Amino acid sequence: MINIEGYVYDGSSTRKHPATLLASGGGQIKVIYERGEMAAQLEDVRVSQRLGNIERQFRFDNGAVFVTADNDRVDQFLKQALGKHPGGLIHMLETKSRYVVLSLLILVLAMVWSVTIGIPRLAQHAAEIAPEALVEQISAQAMEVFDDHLLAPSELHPETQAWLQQEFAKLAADYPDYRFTLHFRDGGDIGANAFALPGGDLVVTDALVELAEVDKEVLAVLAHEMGHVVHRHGLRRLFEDSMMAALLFGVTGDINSFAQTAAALPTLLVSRSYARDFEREADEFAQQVMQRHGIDDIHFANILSRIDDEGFGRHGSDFLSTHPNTRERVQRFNGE
Amino acid sequence: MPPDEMERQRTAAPAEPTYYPLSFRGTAAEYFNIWVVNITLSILTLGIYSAWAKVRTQRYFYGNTYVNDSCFDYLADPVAILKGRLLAVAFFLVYWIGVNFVPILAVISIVAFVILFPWIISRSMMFRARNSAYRNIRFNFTGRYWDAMKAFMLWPILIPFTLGLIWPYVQYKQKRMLVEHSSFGAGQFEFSAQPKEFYVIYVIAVLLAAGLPIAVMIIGVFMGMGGMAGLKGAELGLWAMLIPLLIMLPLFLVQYLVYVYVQTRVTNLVYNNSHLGRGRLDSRLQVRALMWIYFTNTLAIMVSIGLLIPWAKVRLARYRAEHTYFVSEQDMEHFLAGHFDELSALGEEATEIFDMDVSI
Repeated sequence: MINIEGYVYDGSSTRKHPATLLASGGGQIKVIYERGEMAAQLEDVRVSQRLGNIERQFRFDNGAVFVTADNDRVDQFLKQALGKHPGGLIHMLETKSRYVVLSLLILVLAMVWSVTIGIPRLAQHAAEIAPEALVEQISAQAMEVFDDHLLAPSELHPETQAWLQQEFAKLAADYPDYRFTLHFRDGGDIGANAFALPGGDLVVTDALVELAEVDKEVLAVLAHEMGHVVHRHGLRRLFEDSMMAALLFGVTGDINSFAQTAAALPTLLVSRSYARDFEREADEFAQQVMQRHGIDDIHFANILSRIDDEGFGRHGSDFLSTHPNTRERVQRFNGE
Repeated sequence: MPPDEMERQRTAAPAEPTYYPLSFRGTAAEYFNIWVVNITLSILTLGIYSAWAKVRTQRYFYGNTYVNDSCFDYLADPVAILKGRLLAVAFFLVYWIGVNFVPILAVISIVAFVILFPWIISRSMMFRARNSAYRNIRFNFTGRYWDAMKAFMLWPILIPFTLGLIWPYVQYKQKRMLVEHSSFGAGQFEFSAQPKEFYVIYVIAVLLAAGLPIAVMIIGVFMGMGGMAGLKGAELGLWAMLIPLLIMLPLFLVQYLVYVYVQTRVTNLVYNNSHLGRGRLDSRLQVRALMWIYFTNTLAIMVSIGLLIPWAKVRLARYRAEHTYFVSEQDMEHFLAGHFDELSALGEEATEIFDMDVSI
């Protein structure tokens, strides 16, 4: 027989009745308080699971509850009556330090794995199986947004445009599976810049063409952007960002948004480093294309260093902000 | 106790209200373990466990919040939360596909969301209230679609037409709706705040928002000029780059200060004007203390890559509890039960997914 001291709240009012619960090893429960007594078998009473040291509740069929802070006694009784771990499996995990450490280890490994391997791979697969029609639609929409808000019609001489289009068509001819389209635009504030949309639209700003000393430099940049399209970097980025956001929400979903942003910082840093991997991949792709068309690596190195000089002190050009250290890339293209 | 104080207490009117302070008895160490296991099991079960994790978290915080030596209870059924969560995720997925691939789907889901919005709010409040209890007596929320529609959709329509000047009044309407439709057992909450009290808060906020940046900028510019006087060339360039930073950082802090100021003052105002029977809540949160807690919490979470989240949450819960009271002319024994049926969790979880804050 176990005696547990506590209170009865009978469910009709907030009145607190001091009470004693008498429990026998066979699972009979009797609660005695000033207004009378309640008796029941353990299986007819809902006993709340142990959680930290919050009060335990025995909920009876008539709506009354017996509460007690004496968790240890309750566990002792449940163990006698039921013969299993009294606090429940989850409570055992939460209180035994080896399980907590194990959980922490699993947690850290799972986070590191999903951020560095899981999500990028999943995003890559998703990008590969994304239907062509959808990819086209995304690109068309993005192009529309850019044209409405960021870009103006190109002011380059039509002959320059035609000449570059013609040269670019030679590079693009190597990849008949892709619909490459070259667009010239006045980029305004974004300066000397170039970017690719997943559907194969490449955009080059007038400033970049003007910055180039020879056409081959523009072609080198275009070859790089083609690499982004062929490797589906834009789509992968879109999927990765969405998945990262979902993961972050899953882990930190219940804390306030200011702190959430703080917890997001490390993920942001990692996501920056993906961007660098993408650039490296596109650089390698560009090198192959250029080699095939007899464009010397030095042209890419030259335009990179010039954009770098140009971009310094401005808002920074997009072409560079997510890009690996320019010096490192220039060195690679210089064959050093 | 000084004799005159004793005299004053003895002769006080019998209706002299008693202050019942709230307290929080949870600890960071205890909650850390619960938190780690919650997240790990949620990951290992691909998110299924997160519904149980939520219930455990809520139970821990409710169960450790005491007033008059009794704690609150959170009684929600994890399965109901899981169902709601799955539905909300499905809805969000449709929206995501719509935004990224099929615009018409996005339009449809936004329209559906707008139509459902008042329902989500009222359901969410109801689910939370009915699953909250104190001494085996449950809370309840009786606001319905139309009430939520008026407070959260119709009144806000006026905001752009009044250049935002009506916002404090709209917020007053919203808080009033939330409080007046809340009940504890058979007792209905009443709301006594006046619109002008909301306006006072926002007038001070606007003065803070306008005054502090000007002061900061004047100081920044003087410091900048003073600093530059003796510099040349490259050093000057460095200063030119630093000045915007010196100005922007305090501006961001000012913005945050104003935000915390409004949040804190509104919470105090709403609590202090929420009456239940012959008692009322009394909230004494301080802007300065909360600023400090938020700032150091954020710093700690950043430095610990999130591992101090449990510590930060417990610390905030403790501060909030310790600065809240229930002031009553009666004792805490007389609240009677009310009556209602069970319901699904869809509303509450949907509000979580879409990150809406409908707390009182």
